[in-house]
Formats: sequence, structure tokens, C-alpha cells
Amino acid sequence: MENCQCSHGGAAFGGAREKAAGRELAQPSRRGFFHVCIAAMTGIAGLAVAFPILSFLRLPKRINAAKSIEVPLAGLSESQALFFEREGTQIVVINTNKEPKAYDAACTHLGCLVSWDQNEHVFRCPCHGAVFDDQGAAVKGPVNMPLKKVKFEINKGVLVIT
Amino acid sequence: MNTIAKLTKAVMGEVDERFDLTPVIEKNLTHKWVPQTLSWAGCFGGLAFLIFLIQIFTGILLLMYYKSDAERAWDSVTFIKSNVPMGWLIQRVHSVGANFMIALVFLHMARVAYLRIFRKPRELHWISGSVLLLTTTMLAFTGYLLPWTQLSYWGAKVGTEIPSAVPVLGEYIVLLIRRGPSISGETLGFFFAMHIWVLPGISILVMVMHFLMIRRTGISRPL
Repeated sequence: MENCQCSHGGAAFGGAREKAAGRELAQPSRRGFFHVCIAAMTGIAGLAVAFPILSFLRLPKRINAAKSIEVPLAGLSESQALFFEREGTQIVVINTNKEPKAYDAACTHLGCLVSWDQNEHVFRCPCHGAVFDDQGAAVKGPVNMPLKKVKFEINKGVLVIT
Repeated sequence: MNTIAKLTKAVMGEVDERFDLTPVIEKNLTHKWVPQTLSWAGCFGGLAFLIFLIQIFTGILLLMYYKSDAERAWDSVTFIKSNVPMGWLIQRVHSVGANFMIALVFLHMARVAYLRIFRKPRELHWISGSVLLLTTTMLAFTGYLLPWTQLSYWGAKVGTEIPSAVPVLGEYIVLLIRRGPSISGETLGFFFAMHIWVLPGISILVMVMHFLMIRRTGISRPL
């Protein structure tokens, strides 16, 4: 091998000088080869460190996944409302006029959680004053869309949301 | 110009033009020479510092799920170990890393003592290093209680009994560090605060001092 002086790491294999000299194959320099090896090993080590850290930031396994919600209707009075959390959504169950209803408790305006006014039998949103009646229809405030209904079944006097 | 300097230029050429970082990087990293006679045993202190950084990093990750509450501490550590992806690894790295850090600090001090590097002008290096030995062992001791297992509970009980040997004030010091007559949820809260904020804070301050002094006096050349 000729007296190669391309000892800097910039061009990994061979160098522009050798190509300019009209060589068919670029001669890899010893130092360039080691630079590539070191870069590759550093990369592999970096991945080995990054993998567990990025994995750790993923969501953990939850043992108590979504269970069905069961509400015995006999225990739910006219003025009462029950709130449940299920997979990140809040569900409200009421029983006015002997007719059980279940709604997604997120206001259809900007998603704040509505509360139940047990005197006037309406839902009130704390954020911008929207009011919904017990049928879920918008009565007042900056919103027209009704509260989203949640499907349920009634099984021997028990309201079940699966 | 070597590879690292080139990379730096390519990645932050505009920034470098304004802050002129290349000379700083060259002086401290790429063109920094150590005595040729320095053996691999000179790495112990640096390795201890590397593990300190790993401990801070894995500690922050563990903090995302750990709860410093006597009722929930054990459950939260079990949750990390069994439910969080790779949580078992991060938790294990943090606990094994503590052992390695103490071992490396001792090796570092043994070398410095054996080669008598602590002599003038490096007396304060030894003194600040002794403070770091203390904070490191305290970090390990306070961290040992946090998983709230049988082993850590009794470990803390035996460990907090040691100051009772101090004349007159002994019993009172034991009460103070236990935050009460026995190891309880208050002890856990106190150890947690020490482990997360106070001891790492003191360690970092003393480390900065330790490293700045080393830069000033230079590394001692073995004879």
C-alpha cells in the first residue's frame, strides 16, 4: 500500500484524492475503517440504551380494564345522578320520570364535565354555562347539540352498560 | 479538524458562529490531553460520575410511577416491575447502579489514598471527595427504604439505630431521622425527600467544586 496520508476521519473509505488519481477501487484507509467501526458500535450501544428508555415511556399494562357498569334502578331516586368513569369517558346515569337514561357527561360545547342540578333536573356545564334538560337536549348556553346518549340494557331492574 | 468538530460545525454552524463553541469543545473534550503515564485505574472517579448520571436518569423515569406513601409504595414498585414496559430493567439498573457507584467511589478513594494523591495542593479534593462518599452512602441508604419491603424496612431500622451510640444526643438524633419512635410512613416521606432533592442537590454542588478543582490543579502524575 502506498504512503496514504488520509488519516482524517472525514472520508471513511478511501478519499477524493485517490478517486481523482483515477483509481478503479478506492483503497480503504486503516483509520477510516476504524472510524466506521467505532461509529457503528456507538450506534448499536446507543440503540441498546434508547430501546428500554423509549419502551418505558409506553403505556403500562392495566390489570383492571374496563368493567361493565351496573346500576340497580330501585336505588336510584328521581333527583339523583350517578357518575362513572369508563375508559377515559365520564358517564352519568339518571332516572327521572321512571325512565332511566345514560349520557356521556362531556358537554358538547368544549368537553367540560357537566354536573347535575337535582332541584331543577337539568345538567349544568361549569365552563360556559350550557344547560341540558333531563332528555339531554341543549336548553341554554353556547351549544345546540344534545348530550351524547350511552347505550344500556335493563336486566331485572338493573341498568347495565357493557 | 477532527470528526467531532466537523459534526459540531455541521449540526450547529449558525449557533457556533454566535457562541463560538468549537474552542470550548476542543479545550475540554477533543483536544484535552491526560498524562501518558495515567493508567486505567484513573477512570474510577469518572465512572462513578457516569453512574451518578445514570442514577439521575433512571431515577426520573422511576419517579413517573413511584408513590412515596406507606400504603402504596410497595404496590407502585411492583407495578413498575411487572406492568410498565421495561420497568423491571430500569428499576434493576437503578438498584444495581447504586451498588456499583459505591464500589467505584471506594476504588477511586483507595487509589487516591494508596498513591497519596491527596497531598498538597489537592487536600481539598480529598475533603470534598469525603463529603461525596458520605452523600453517596446516604443516597444508597435512603433509597434502600423506598421500595418498602421487609428487607428495606429492617435495613432502615438497623441503620437509623447507629446514631444512638452518640453520647447524650444519640436517642434524640434517632427520633429526628426516624421522624418518630419507629419506622413509619413519615420516615418514608423524609427519606424520599432526602433521596430525591436534598442529597442529589448537595452531591451536584460538591461535584462541581470537586471537578473545577481538578481542572485547576490538573491530574496528579504518578511517579
